[in-house]
Amino acid sequence: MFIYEKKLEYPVKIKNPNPALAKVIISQLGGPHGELGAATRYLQQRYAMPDNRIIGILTDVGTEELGHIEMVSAILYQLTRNLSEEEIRRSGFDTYFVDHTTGVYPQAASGVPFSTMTLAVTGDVFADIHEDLAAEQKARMTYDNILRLADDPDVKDPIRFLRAREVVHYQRFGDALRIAQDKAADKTNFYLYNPAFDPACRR
Amino acid sequence: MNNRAALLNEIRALEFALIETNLFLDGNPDPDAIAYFENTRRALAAKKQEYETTFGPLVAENGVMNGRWAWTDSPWPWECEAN
Repeated sequence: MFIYEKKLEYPVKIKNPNPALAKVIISQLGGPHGELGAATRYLQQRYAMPDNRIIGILTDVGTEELGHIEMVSAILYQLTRNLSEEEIRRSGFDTYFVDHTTGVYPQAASGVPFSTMTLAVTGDVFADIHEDLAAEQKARMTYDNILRLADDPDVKDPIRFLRAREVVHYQRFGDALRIAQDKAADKTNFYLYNPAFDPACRR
Repeated sequence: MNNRAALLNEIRALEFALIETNLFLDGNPDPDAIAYFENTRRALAAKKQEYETTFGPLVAENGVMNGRWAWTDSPWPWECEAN
């Protein structure tokens, strides 16, 4: 189960609302490389994993990602406070506003709603871990692009924190890959068995 | 920065160290990292107790403050005033 802790992992304190920037950053909530997909992907991949250390990494990275959903949502919430109708029209936020007002809905910057198609739970140890390594790089890339588009230091500070976490998570999934390779039944062919399914190499 | 935000940032710093060590230990159960984890955990627990006694609950389990249900008090974490 999960127990909620009433604080953000890293502070978000944005003085100036900016709905145009929110429209871009929303991709890291509900876009193809966003935090909602990351948290759900890792937590849902755990069940097929045959190694306790890999299950631990997926559990703990997935749990931290739940906190990042809340951090990105806090950024979106603070960027869209106290907007006038004129600001909504002028910023291009009107196409979001018409359906969601200032509610925080998981969608990509393009407007495409969050899709579980981005999750990738294959039940194959090597396919899943490689998916996770790629996912962290794609999230890091998206934060880099957000940093190119954002000019408010109040926004860039928590975005830089989130970006750095993607790099660390990538390293931890590197540990997971090393563990899976070390345990493979045949060191010359890691893919001879899927250790999550084929009983021959379960330990 | 007010006292509440300053103490919360001390908690965040310790918790960040704990999260980072936790993730590392999952794949690398190194004795030095285990000792660091334990020291950090103790320091964090003390800071959290200080915070909850003064400013209110961080977890619902500690939601009662002076006989009153304080868990649902503002601010919530996504509000500026909480950070």
